[in-house]
Amino acid sequence: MTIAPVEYRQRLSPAFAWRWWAGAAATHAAAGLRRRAGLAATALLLPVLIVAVWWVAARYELVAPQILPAPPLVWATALDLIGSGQLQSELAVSLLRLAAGLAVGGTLGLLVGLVMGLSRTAEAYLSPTVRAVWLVPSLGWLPFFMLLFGIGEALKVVLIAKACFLPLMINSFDGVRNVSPKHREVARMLELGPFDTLRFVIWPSVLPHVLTGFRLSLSKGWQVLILVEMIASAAGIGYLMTWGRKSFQLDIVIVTMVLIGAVGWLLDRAALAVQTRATAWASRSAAP
Amino acid sequence: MAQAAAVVQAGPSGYGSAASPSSSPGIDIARVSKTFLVNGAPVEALRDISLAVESGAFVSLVGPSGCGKSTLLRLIAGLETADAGVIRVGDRPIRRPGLDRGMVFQDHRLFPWLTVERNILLSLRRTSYSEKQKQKIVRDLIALVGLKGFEQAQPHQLSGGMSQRAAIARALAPRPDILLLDEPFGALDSLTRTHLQTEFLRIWKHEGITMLMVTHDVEEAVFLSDRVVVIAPRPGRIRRIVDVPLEKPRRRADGAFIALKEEILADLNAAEA
Amino acid sequence: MSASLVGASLAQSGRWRGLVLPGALLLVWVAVAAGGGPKSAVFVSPGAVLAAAREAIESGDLPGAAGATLLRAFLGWSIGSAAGFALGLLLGLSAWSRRAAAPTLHGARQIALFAWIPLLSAWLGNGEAMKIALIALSGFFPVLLHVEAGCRDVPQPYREVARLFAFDRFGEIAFVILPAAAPTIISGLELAFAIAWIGTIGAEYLIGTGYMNASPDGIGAFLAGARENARMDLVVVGILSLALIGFVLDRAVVLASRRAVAWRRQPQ
Repeated sequence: MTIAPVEYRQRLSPAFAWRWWAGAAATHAAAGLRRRAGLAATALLLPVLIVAVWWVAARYELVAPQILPAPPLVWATALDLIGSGQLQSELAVSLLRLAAGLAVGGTLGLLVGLVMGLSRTAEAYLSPTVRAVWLVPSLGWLPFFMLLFGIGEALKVVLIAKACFLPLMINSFDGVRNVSPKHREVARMLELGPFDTLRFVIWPSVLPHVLTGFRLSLSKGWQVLILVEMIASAAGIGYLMTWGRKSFQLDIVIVTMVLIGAVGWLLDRAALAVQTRATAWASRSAAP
Repeated sequence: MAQAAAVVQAGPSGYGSAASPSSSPGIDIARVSKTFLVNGAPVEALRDISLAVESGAFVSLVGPSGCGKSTLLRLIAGLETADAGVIRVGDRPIRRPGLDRGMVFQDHRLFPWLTVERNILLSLRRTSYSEKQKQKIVRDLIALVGLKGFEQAQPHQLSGGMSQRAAIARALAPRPDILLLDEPFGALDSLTRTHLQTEFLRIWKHEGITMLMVTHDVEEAVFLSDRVVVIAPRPGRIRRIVDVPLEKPRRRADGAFIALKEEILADLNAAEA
Repeated sequence: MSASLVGASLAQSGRWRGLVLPGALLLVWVAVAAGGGPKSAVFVSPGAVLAAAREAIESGDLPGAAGATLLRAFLGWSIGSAAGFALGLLLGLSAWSRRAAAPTLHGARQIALFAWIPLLSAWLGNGEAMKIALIALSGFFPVLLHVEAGCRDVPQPYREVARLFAFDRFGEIAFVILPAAAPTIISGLELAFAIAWIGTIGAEYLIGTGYMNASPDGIGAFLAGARENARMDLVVVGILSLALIGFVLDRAVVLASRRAVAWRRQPQ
């Protein structure tokens, strides 16, 4: 890198210094950007290839158009659904159900897990029942709840709540059991009462586990939601996908599939971000 | 020692002002025994131990691994209860942990989810100081242990030596009657250890409270304490008490220092045999 | 009383506490049924459930369904695991392929399992092929992830030993990488089976509800049929058999994996 000859006074001026630093920063940023662009390009290689093959297959009708709608059609359908607002409204319905089920089942799971963790007696009474319930997947409970609740909103919320209950319960329980006894000793020495101990020692130790459980509950809840909407619903993303299948509009099916994947991914990312922010200390400190 | 002088002027919280030694109570251990159950079999950790630590003194317990010295410390802290005998601090018998007895552990045991400042503040939670007083105490202590600038750091960002300083600050904050130290510098490398020992001597001079330390390191014991108690293992009992009448701060290369150290080491080797 | 006797009776007394809750629920159920029960068609007495269970077993419906489901699940799981294993090995060992393929695969993984059914049924029809494909898909991703992680995380020291012994690629994989990654891979296989199990029941259930046109069979179809006919007693029988099979499978898997990776437990 050659430095162009500059007059002495100009070299010292703040304007020059600023320009020099800006240039250096821009080069640095450009290098970072190039590296990230490189990574992104490699990641896009496979999807682009798939879309290309797909496009060719559809163009030359290697497969029947009912089975493989052309990419442009799928894209147009996507824009259509977004433009008419239908995609958003169905998505809203689904997310609302997820939120409701998560709120009910997740909170319950958290409380039960904490109680079982804190009290050996509670664990002795509750644990076998919980394990028995765990043995039967949510899917198995579907017909049971359907007979009980019909196919209204209650069914969805109950089933999602059931799915969200277990991961949060297990992880909270684990979290409480893993509270370091050494930390508890310090709490005793500092004369911290039961509430203070809960607030300053137990809860912070438990939080990383609770957030992991939250992520798992979110993911499971989403999966169960889709299934229920496919079977017993007249609204929501799962229903939209089913309707597309039943009316042989695979373009709608593909659009909804992609959306389901995207939303699932986003939810997980968001939960992960919350977890990382709230518990940065946990990943970097070794347990005492 | 300009820094020490500046600290002495610290102010009404008392940190930095040399407290008179006689204000800190002594420890009286009377005929204490403790037995543990290990895999169903009883193990006698301590048998009939009696020891008196004068107020303001610095006493070290040395002995081979498993001789019961840490158990004795934990009994005084109240983390365990003795099977027989009584432990008194001042004139009060010990039953459970309390802020009147501070403890520094070998693993610093700072709460990793709190900053240095908040860790120290937490030890003041059950005290009756005002918020402003607490802030001042924390500030003074952080200056005293030499962690200025690291108030907002989290434990995982600190080195071992710095974490231990923070742990010492936390133990001192509620102005305990006595300070218990369980191999406080054992987890540190030897350079940090010697440095911190010197630092700790300075801190001790300003606090003037009774200190009881457990250590493996005989040199550390001779460097810091007024008396060294040698504990023999299985079951734990006092083998010998050695006075260290040398003036502080001591020089490790000093003839008298080395002689005392050798004497105690010889005794330890005999104890282990 | 000697210490050991006291200990034994304490253990006994501890165990019973777990049965209190289910026992109480059972009692309530029996009591309600004995008292006539609510007039809802949905309520079934324990007796009715037992009768339905006996009928389902003796007629061969339930065992047949269970057998079909197990077979299907196992078949789909094998196929999916094999594919996941192969791809996982590739991704675990080659950083380049990881960079190229991982984002796409992880993206595909996000799509809820049952969301694949409409597409798969359009492509593969409604018969066995579709079911097996779905089950294979459900088993594919866990195995892929675990094999990739297991191979990628083989500690460098082990790989260096392989180089010292002049192992070729194949030798390195067979004798160093795979054994080292074995615990992770095995837990991936277990997880994959659990998910494949759920996928099997789900697919059977959907077919059973007429979601797709196909002849229903398996436990999933059993449940769907029970619900369609509003036979709560059969639904309960179905749930109980799911629990039983789940329990047996769980135990079997734990036993098998414990034997397979016994070396993990030895101090190293």
